[in-house]
Amino acid sequence: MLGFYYDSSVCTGCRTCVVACKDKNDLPADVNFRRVTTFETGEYPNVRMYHLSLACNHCENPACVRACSSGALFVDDDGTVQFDNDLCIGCESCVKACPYGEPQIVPELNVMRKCNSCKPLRDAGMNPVCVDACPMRAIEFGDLDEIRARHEGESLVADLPCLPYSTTTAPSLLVHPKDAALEEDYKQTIL
Amino acid sequence: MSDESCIASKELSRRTFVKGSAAAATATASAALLGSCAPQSGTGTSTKGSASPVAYVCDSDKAIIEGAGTWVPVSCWHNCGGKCANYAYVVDGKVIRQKTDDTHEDSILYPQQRSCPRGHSQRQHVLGPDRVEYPMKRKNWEPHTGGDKSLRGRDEWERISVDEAIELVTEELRHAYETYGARSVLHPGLSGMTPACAVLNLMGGHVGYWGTGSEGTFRFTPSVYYGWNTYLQNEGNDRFTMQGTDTVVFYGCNPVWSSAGLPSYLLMNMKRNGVEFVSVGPMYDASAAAFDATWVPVRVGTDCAFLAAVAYEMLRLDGERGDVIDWDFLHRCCVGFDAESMPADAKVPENFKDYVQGVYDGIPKTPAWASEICGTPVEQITWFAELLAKDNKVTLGYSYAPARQKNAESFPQMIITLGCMGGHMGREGHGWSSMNFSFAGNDGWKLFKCGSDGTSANFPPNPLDDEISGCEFWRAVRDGKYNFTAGKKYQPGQERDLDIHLIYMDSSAFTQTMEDSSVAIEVLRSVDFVVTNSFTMRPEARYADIVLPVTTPWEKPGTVAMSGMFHNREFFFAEDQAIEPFGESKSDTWWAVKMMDELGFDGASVFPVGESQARFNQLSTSQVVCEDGVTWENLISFTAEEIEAMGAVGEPQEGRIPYTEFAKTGTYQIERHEGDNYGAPRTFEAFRADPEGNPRASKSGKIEIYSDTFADMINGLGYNAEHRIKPYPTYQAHAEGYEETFVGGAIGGEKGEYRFQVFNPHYLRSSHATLGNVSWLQEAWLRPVFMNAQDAKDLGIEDGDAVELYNDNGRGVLLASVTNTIMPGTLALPHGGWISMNEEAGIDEGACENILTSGANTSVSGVMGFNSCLVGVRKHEGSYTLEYQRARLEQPVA
Repeated sequence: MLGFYYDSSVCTGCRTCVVACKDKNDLPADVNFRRVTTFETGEYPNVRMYHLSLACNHCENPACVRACSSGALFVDDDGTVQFDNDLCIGCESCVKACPYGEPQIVPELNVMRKCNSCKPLRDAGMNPVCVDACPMRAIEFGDLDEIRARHEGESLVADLPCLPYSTTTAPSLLVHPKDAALEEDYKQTIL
Repeated sequence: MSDESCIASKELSRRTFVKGSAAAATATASAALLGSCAPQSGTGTSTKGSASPVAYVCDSDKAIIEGAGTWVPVSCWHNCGGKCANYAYVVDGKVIRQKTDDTHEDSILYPQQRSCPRGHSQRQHVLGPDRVEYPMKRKNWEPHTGGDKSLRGRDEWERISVDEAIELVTEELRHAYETYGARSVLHPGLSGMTPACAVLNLMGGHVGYWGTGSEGTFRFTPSVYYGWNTYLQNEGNDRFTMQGTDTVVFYGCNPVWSSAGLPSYLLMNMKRNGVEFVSVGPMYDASAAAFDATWVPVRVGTDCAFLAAVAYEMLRLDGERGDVIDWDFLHRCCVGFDAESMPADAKVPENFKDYVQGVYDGIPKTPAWASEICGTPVEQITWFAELLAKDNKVTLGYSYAPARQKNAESFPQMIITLGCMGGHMGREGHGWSSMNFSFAGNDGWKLFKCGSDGTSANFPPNPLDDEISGCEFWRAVRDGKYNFTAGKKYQPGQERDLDIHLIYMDSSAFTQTMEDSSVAIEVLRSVDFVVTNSFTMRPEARYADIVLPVTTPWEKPGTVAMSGMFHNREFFFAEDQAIEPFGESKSDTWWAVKMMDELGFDGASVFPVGESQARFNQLSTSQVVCEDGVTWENLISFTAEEIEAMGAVGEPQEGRIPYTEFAKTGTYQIERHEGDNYGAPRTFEAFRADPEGNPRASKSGKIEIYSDTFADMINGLGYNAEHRIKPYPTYQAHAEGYEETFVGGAIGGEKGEYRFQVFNPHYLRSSHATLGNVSWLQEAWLRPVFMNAQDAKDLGIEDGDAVELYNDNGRGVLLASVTNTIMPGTLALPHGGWISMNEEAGIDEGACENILTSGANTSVSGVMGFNSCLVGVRKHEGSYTLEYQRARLEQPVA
């Protein structure tokens, strides 16, 4: 399986990945295929903060593909979830189905768009733009087994208190969590 | 705007096939999409009627994969501290995409110079919806008088021609100089060397600026008691000499937000290698979070109380068990710590140690004493004193944030004194220096010398010596008088009168970045004429009578990224021209030359060096150090053909890298290795070994914990006759500090109305005031005011509520981020809000921090105290959303 690796233990929450993705996809306001959310745990003064950078998880069991009635969303030959721009009718079924909030309607076009893991770039031998943009080198994309081998010794999870249960869609996601990200009590912080 | 999105319109027309007329109604909204006009390659993949779906490919991917364009190294020219690599993908003269450094494999020894979200947003900054396309005149402006001046900032605009713009501006200049003289002309700018200043200087001069700016009271330290300019000379340890340290302390320092780019990556590498981090300040900030730092909370403006108590504890612990204080360093390398190390000619028979122990005022500076002021738990003060013990390998990095406050004169001397007490200077694993800009985590001498472009050789000097301090800049103009100190010559202050009639603004954003923004608006609505060079409708342009459109660095032959002190020591980046000048934009120099010609001067003789020649001059005189770390050579070799192709004149030369190769990426970077000759010598090592043989630039040649030179200079400046400082560092309550949050101005009892202390962290949405209008950044970084969860609860404020910050100076509205990461009673209002006045309601909907600050009650040195003020907070009654704020900031022109 191909998927994203995200190292929450080194992420500074700078949101460069969000902007690089926005630039590549020419996205209008409030549509972001990669999103960074900031969370805090604890009470003053014993606090901790962590971030979560999330794009499409290219799930093994993608709820969006199941929900799509027009056939626009599909699992491509490399296992990533792709979409056909011309088949989408903007019905929002995928938007409602995805527990990660990934598919989004571009209001100006009234069609769904989402992260395609920069497949065209990857097929041409390049990396997804978020991977190359990250100043902390916190994002990787590739074969999950190879990623696991490269990060041997790190705890790698797809479940965190701030994430939906991975059993729903089997996301192709490996997160190296910061300790604070494992705490059950958290709140989102406007940054 | 000429550059609206082709993607959106093309796709819309195609979508109508599928969705009928419903989509057409959204056509006007497509302006939100950026201009990403790839050649006629279509968009995505048309598969209507085919058997299986085909994956979508965005236009810019398609263009890049096809190799339709070129990656051009481009400028991110802001004063942030990064100096990273950015590239624009240019297809048929249009920028369709950006990227950062991928010019070589990435490793910790040879890292890519990856940029932050601001760098990645440059194309929206350069080609955003509020880009000024042509010269504009305020509709109700009248020559010589200004017409209805109260309409500045809310009038309508009319397009005028370039010739008309020059005619009108030069006539106003002529009128002001003839009628009121040179002292009636003000240039609110950090640099008095902009092209517009050359015009003003030829006409007879201009009234300018000096100020403590970013450095705050560190501005006064060079060659006084420390013998080094902590700001400019990069005497901190580099990333190799930093190795061996066990603990890095960020003192008022938040590199994640203020030194974006490489520094956080290098510092994270130290964390991976087991280094522990400590963060001292009013907020558990992004750096504290990223590095899992131990947080030592200290209230805004109370650092000297905290540090005096740390000194008290170090003395106590040293007395009890020894080996805490480095007496050898204090007595050999410093003067004025205690009675036995006083300078022989000291005017005041007092020393720091006795001050700390309460000999002079009867108040020992105990943790209990300090805790009441600074809010730090007593046990954490002791813990920090233990940490600074001389055998702990500590690197302490301080920022200037605590020094950008009124009454902060002692802070630099105080923090340096603590470093001397622990002897954290000149020893392996120890370090004590400023930590900011691109040199956070990798300080030291530069491995490149940036060349000179030769453009300022004939720059006419300013015949006037008038320079108004930033601390009173706008109110001095309003009140018609200011304190003259001969600028940074720091002469004893003298009152001078002022009568300003004309204001010329160009490169700086003084309306927003000086204290007293409300007064700035008052002043801008009172003078006869305001002209601004600008490429966006920033506040400096909105409050002008005439706006002259200028090119951005993307539109002219590039220069070396922020030449001089700010650049990364291992990395040289020279941007190139990406696009043609936008609309009728001209360079600042072009406007100046035309005006000179119109006014009867020979513009070409003042600026004889063109932009292409300037680029050649700068690149051909830039040097790189050789492998021995001692000798230097030209960085770039040029052939006669290359020089000619650049449009320049010059002699061919030998250098490290051929120009044609260099120009492909615009970069040259030095790969580092353990034991190479590029390391910075450990700061203070030679001085520690032999202070007499390697004297500092102070009067005694040593670090002066007691300095009459310093005290006399500061006390003579005369910005506040009531206030005096000691020759050694002490705690003094700050004007608009914690004490003043109480009724009566003393700690305890009832809280006053303005009971919240505000500070202004640097923030990744903007670089100072620049980029405040970029919607990608506005969306990624919401710029809320951060407030403590208990405070919010007490005021009935919930996370995401719109709140007003208010005081006697002004009112601003923005969203509240309710958090446990900030001290009670403290608000973090990120730096960089653009003034966006709702005139009817009298409230700044851009929540510019300086709407709330005041130049009144400055302290004796005239330090610009904008990093702290007192406000009240209340829930905002009117409607206010982020979308609303964005729309106001992006309001298009004319």
